[in-house]
Amino acid sequence: MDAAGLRELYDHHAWAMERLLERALEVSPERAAEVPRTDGLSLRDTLAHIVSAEGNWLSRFQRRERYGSFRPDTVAGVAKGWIALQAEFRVFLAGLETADLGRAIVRDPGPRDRGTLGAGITHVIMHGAQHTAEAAELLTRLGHSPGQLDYMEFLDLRELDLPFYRPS
Amino acid sequence: MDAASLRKLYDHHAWALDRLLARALDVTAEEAAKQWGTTGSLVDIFDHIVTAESLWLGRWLGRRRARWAGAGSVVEVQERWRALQAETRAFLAGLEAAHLDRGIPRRDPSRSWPLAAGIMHVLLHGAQHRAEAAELLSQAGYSPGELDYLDFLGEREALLRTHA
Repeated sequence: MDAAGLRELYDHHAWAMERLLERALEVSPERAAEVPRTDGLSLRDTLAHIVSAEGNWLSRFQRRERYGSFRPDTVAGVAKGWIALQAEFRVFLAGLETADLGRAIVRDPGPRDRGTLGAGITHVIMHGAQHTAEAAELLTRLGHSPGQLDYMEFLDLRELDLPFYRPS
Repeated sequence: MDAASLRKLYDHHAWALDRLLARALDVTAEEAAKQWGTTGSLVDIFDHIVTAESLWLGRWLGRRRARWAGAGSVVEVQERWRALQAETRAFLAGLEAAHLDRGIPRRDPSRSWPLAAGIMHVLLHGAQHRAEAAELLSQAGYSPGELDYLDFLGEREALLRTHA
């Protein structure tokens, strides 16, 4: 995939995250911290996991120190971390050219950390898609459905150029 | 988005769905049909993934929309998925860069999206509902394990090494 394609997929991911966080802020802190899932993660922790994983991958892409553990006490804390990380991720993606995507990413001992920068970014996006789906399901169960988060929905709404669909 | 990348993402989608369906065969028919709140049953989720993909493929191929009454079991979904996967792979194999900008009609027939966007939509839609299926399988005690993109790449790389 070329750099422009990855930037577009990240735009969709960020849009979905913002919608989820907006709805999650309506949930009481107690309910957002309840653990109804088999992986032991609450709504708050599912959203934090997305941010944490993305932060660690970005550090790896930039050959920086690990982003570290991100476990805020509240959804507001997750949203704050996400806003900062998203801005940083966008700057990183904006500077990418297609030739950069073939660069090997620094490997940790585990087999999961192999591959190229392009594969790593794709992994972050697909990982985000998996866990945003889980967060959406939890929100729906809690009575705060985020509505449609599909890619086509995003493209349709972006075309309308409403202020809240413009990348921040 | 280029055709080779879309094919690779489809490979990941198919690998993950194959794994989920294989695990789902271990679940009893009653458990697979059990309704889980807003999500529906395990069979419903799989059927939704396959039906949506089938509708989209039909649209790309310019086919008429076929009626589908819904699958009654995991086995039934799996059979339908096998046929659909083969057909989608054949379609993707024939794609070249120039095809990806071809307009596919939207609900409003005067407007269209490029074919590449439609394929990406199917892939992300699949990822969303696979996550729901994985959660239901885990709740039933049949976790499918890691289905991440890098797990897929690692497994494929290992397989290629074995056969080299």
